[in-house]
Amino acid sequence: MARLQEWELNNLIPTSKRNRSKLRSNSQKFIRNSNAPKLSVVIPVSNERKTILRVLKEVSQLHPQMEVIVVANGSQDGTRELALRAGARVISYEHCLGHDVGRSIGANYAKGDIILFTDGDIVLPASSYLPLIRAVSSGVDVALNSYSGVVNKVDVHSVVLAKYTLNNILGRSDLKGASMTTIPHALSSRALKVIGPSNLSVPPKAHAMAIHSGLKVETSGFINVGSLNPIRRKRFVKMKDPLENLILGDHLEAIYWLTEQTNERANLTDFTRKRQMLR
Amino acid sequence: MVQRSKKPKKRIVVSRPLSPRKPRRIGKIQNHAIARRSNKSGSINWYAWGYQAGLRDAKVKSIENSAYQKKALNEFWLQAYRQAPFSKSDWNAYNQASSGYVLGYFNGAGIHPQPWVMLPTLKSVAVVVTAMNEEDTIGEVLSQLHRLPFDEIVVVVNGSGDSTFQKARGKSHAIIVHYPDALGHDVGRAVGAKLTNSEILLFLDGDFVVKAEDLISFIGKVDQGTDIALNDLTPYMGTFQTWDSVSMLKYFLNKVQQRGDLSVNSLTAVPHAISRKAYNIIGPSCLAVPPKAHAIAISKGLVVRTAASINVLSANKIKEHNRGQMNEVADLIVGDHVEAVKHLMKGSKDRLNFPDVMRLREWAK
Repeated sequence: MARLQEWELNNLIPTSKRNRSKLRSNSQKFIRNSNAPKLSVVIPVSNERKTILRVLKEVSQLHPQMEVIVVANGSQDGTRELALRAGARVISYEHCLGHDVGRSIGANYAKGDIILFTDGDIVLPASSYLPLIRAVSSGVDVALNSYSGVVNKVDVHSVVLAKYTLNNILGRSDLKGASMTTIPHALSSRALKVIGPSNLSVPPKAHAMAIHSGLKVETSGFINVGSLNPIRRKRFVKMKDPLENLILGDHLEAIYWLTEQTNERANLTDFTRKRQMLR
Repeated sequence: MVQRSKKPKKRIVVSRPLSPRKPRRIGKIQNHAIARRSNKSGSINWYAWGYQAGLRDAKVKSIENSAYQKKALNEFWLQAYRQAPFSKSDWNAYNQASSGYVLGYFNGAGIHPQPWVMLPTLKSVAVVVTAMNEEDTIGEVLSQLHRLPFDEIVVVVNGSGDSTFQKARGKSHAIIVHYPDALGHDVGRAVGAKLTNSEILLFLDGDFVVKAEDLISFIGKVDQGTDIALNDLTPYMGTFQTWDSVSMLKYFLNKVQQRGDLSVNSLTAVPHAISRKAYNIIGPSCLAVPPKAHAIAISKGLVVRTAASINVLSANKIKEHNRGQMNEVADLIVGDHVEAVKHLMKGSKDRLNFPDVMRLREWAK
């Protein structure tokens, strides 16, 4: 696999015969990237040409000094070109890197004090992101979407169960099902340093790391992404959702990490149990 | 519940009422006919079947000279049960038939009827009851247990500040183990289990009275091959948003072992019954951490099923007198589940059976 990675600003794009006509007009560029941004927005994309422009249009209004970083991996439907044309900082990979890896890559390049993560296939009005941004700028390290999944049934989805479970183990049942797995969410640059960008590839683990290392993790706003999630609606109505098992495994990895840092019980009390009676 | 078909089986002829001119057919066919006739609506009356069987046995079999009369009667019952025309998994029918049998026997033998309940197995059965401060309920709990012919009853009284021990001692000939300090009730179960030798182990808490009839399916299932027979709490669970942390952890532990079908059911709740094989595989020190025992049972391929559905949740809600204590117990059980998950991960299987085949993580570094 040939790795392709470059900062692609509009006037440096190598124009092949095929691209020339599309890139001639600069009126489609609406993102102005600052060189000293206060806010970085990281959007991993694969094939989201139907929604990416709308997402970018909303996101580009969030702050006067901002940058939009689009991590295009395995993009074959023109999403990458659309993002380039709109003026985003695009990091490209020919092949799909897998869920969430794009977050790590984008976070590595982010220069802002506040880093906002969202997806390229969910169009949210700019106002939805504001509570997260305000929270981080007023001291919260990890500002989460308080959306917890569908919980008014008995056989809840494994992913919802896993998120609630992890929060319970971490002693943060107040967060309910909020998690760094869910977008959008925002990090302070301090949080990014503490967690480490590479760990963002396994969001539940990053979530556990954030809470365990004493960062300020709060929910800041309710953004209903459940009904908006096209993935679940389109592809996996009849199929078993392969992401379900991946995310379940992620939560196990998080628990493994936590128990390695603490003890096999995640430091939860055992004081009333007299195990020595059973030697 | 198994609904008996109203159509008779081919080999049983019940279309004509029995008349004196035709020779009476003895055995199963006759009993079935009597059972059908005694209920005008046509559905099978297992109680009547059992009653007739008991009545008959009283004429030919005696428990008078037996040292353990309850057990002797149980043996006679089991012989009759072998001929039973209902499904061996229909515990409702079993309970009707066995209670009919017992009354039939006492009436037939001219003995004052006792509220005995017959076990569905010849195998040895032990029951372990853990109790702390249960002076209000321990008497009733033991009364119900006395209705069954157990081979061993062990009561583990620990950290008791009230008269639980005295009540238990005065009520029963059971083996009573008394610790002045609290062991933690799960340790109590393991300590009690260590003292037993029986093939089937039943576990109860001293704070919740379970009728003897409700315990039958747990024992019966283990007799028929289940290694861990659990209490099915799912009918009493509301929607997920109402769940407490312990329920979530229980469901999670089942899910990650691909037993989502068990939902919130686990060895954490009583009553439950286990086979001796399961006890040997799990071991008493793991039995003291019920979620860990549960995880081990599933991972070692033991047969884990639900038996009956007894609402023990309401009992927990009543004990709201100390909120702080409830939270500590909840934390304890959550920690138990983490311990169980970590145990499953031994050998660096940090994702158990959910590998990450999708991500190319090296690119993130």
